[in-house]
Amino acid sequence: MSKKLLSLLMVAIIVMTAACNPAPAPTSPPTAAPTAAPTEPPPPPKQEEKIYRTTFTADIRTLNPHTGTQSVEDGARADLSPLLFMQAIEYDAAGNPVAPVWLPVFAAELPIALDDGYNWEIKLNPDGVWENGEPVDADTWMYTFKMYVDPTMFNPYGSWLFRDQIEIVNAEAYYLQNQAGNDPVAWEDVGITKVDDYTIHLSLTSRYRQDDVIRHFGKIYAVYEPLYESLMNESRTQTTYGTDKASFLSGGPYILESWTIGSERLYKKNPLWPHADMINLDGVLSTLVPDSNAAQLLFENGEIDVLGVTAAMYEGYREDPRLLITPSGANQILYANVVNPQVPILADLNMRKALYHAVDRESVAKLVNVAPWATFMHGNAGGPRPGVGFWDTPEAQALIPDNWGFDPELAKQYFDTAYAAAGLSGKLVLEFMYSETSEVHKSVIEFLQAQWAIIFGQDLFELRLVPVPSPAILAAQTEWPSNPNSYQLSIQGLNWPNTMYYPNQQFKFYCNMNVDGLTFTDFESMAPDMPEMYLLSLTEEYRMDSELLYELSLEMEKYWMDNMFGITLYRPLSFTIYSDRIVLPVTQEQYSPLIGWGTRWMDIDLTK
Amino acid sequence: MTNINETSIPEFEGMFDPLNTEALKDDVFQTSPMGFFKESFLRFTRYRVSIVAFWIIMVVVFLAAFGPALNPYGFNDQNVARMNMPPRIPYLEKMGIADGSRILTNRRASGLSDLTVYPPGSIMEIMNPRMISGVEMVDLKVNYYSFIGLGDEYFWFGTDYLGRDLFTRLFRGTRISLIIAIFSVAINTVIGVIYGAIAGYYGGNVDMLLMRLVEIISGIPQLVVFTLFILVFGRGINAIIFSFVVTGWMPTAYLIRAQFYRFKGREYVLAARTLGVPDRLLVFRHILPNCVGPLITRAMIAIPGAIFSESFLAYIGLGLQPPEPSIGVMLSDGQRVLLQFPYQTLFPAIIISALMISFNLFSNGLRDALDPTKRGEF
Repeated sequence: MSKKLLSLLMVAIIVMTAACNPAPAPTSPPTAAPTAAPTEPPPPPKQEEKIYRTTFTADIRTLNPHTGTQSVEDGARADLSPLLFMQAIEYDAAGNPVAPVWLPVFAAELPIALDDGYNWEIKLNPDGVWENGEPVDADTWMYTFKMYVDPTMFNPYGSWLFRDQIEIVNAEAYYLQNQAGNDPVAWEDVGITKVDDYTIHLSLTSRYRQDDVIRHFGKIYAVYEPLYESLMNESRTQTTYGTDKASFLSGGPYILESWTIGSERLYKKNPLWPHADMINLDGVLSTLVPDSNAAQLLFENGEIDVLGVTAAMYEGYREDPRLLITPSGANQILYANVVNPQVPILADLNMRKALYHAVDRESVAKLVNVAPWATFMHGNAGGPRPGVGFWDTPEAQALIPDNWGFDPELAKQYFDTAYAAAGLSGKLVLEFMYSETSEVHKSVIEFLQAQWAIIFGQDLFELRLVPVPSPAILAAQTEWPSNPNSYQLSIQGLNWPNTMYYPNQQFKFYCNMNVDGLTFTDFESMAPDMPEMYLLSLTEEYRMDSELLYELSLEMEKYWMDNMFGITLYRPLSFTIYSDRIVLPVTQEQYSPLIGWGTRWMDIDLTK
Repeated sequence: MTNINETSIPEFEGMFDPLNTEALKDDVFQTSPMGFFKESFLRFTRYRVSIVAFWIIMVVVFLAAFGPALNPYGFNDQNVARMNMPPRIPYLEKMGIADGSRILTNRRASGLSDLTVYPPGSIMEIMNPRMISGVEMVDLKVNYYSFIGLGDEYFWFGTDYLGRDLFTRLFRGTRISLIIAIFSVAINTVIGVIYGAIAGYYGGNVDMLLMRLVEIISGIPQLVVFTLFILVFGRGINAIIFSFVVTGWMPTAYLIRAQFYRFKGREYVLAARTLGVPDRLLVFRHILPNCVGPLITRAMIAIPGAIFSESFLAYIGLGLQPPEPSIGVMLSDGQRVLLQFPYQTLFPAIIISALMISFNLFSNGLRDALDPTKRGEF
């Protein structure tokens, strides 16, 4: 192609391109604004709403209180569903929070003991309604209770009604009647009856304190019968109630405004809630943010109001005045599978004591920003008197060993004794199973792996780590009766927030009294007297006498230390930061495990 | 014997002139004949990028072999007092690189004068003063080694969440990653060569049967194979190597089979066969040497693939048994604290990137150098 032709072609292209682009419109001189027609005065600017912006790491599966078993689901239900009693904060004259108090919400008042304490009445609040205005009356609650223990549905939360803080006559038998060998029980024979539209009568198997009855019903949430029934399958074994916005009706402090599953939930304040005047927020927006680093960026950008500070983030916020430290109720405990035939040495008390005394809890605490803890009962456990913690008393303090139980020389002595008794000659190899998603567990166990090899001898001891997926770990830990080889050593924490006044109840798990059958090893072979002590603590004599119960609980704690059927590693701490605009009713200085942070009653300062 | 030039044939008398034999005489070669590999080597030296890649690999291999012994820290020496130390490298620190400094955010301004917390000289810079909840706060750049009282220590790549030296762990991990990669590739090559040679050489029903078997095995998802192997045989090096072998040998088998199909019909092979050379010799002496070039190239390409696979497995939680490190294990641990301690991800990322890129560039050079169609090109 000649240069001339090429030039012509380029000129043509430029002309065509120019032609395709519209010429700029001639600039017209600015015209005068048209004469303003008389209009309505502009509406006042809408006041900014007090929306608390929070995050969650995994969406809830259901809002159905009968089937949801995750703690995050409990939190959502407490926000959205009718509840008879709710915990609030009592303030002194100076406005300082002093104690938790129970607030009747859909109950008109606290439960009333009839004559002997075996029978109770709960008066319902006539102002209690669903978001659509329909009443939450005795029929609502009777239907809710019945569905909790429905023998056909066999809901996982059935035990919460029939035997938790209190035991209701025939409720367990009704729930279990379809199980092999059980007799049929009619609903009418269960100890919950409707007296009138706003009164429910309870018949209990024993005498209980008012506090027991309140706490028992403090986590029983009502369901909306028409929706619950319409979503039931033909065989009446399942309902899809509460699995999305359309299948749920709110009646709690907030109304479920929208729920984009796997993304976000928006709650709006429920003006019909009996204590709506106590709720300061206009709404709550919860957004799915699975990654903690992403949450940190959102918090730093002011897009969310709360940040859970992880161990890795802690250093960056340790001096931040907004940082709140919450001790957890769930001590992290190492369990030894004493029936595992591959490692019979674990059944030897000396070996378990060796492991106990070989844990440098101070270093563990520094390593993962937790509190050192060496005893079994958790730090939130209630003591002899209301408002007094179990570990606040000198008798309990005396049970805490020096140096949090860490004594490498003593550990080595116990190890050598156990090693000799087992007739071992080579290296003892133990496997430690833990959840692969837990960074804290991983750090702690890797630390123990190195430390124990040094303490017991590199040539005598080796700890192998077995990370497993989270869903598999509980299965492995609890299948020891059918599969003794399921694990050797493992770590687990159990939270007992509802037993804070009853230290004895924490031993329920160790006495095979847990209705879900969750026991991690054969505790009875390690501590044969514990079930008897536990059953004693459940008797009326002890249950109705706090001092007596407290003394027995001390005995049980000592017994635990002597028989070492769980090796406490540490007490978790959780760190939280709220943005400057959040006003909590409790400060760090005022915090106590019994009161908590009172987040339900928080406010937002819109000027910040 | 009669010299033909001196022979007189009456019938052709006068028709031909004798050739000038002097003019036909070739010069004697002044150089010795050059073999295939020597020529390939010379050709390879022309690819400067590949040469650089080769030396990078050598440096990493050297560090993997001897790096963990270059400082006094063991790969599992834990110390709670020195957790998450930033990198500090002699000489470089004077240039402000890897100087052991760290930004401490959200510190109370009122506490900066407390010498028990901030020893003299530990604070390098005070930044971003602000008020939070009525308290004056600042961010600090500190010499973290002075800050926690380890002024004389040097952790070249910093330490991790258990206070373990990352330089030692990284190169021990690199060593393990390389061992896994090299062993798995070597085993894959041996299996692939034998399998592919049999299929390619015998052809027919044997080939059909063997190839169908390969197709069945290749239908199993690789991740499933990895997961099952590690679940059944544990998280040891052997389990990971063999999980890579289950399906990893098949590309080599395909390659060798194709090469055998290409060469087994060549004249020299047919001649050898006609002369009664046994199959074994035909395969290993006459055909297989022709596959060496592609085979080496293939193996070199497979090594970074194996390193990456091991890292991927570790990243998703199927890595080696702790406390043994590998590049993937370190990346997995580092990414959890990426915002707080980015160097814990940076160094393993640099090493794995250098290895992946270098092996690929090195393989490209080898591929061209060993290409028989380029013989004579310099």
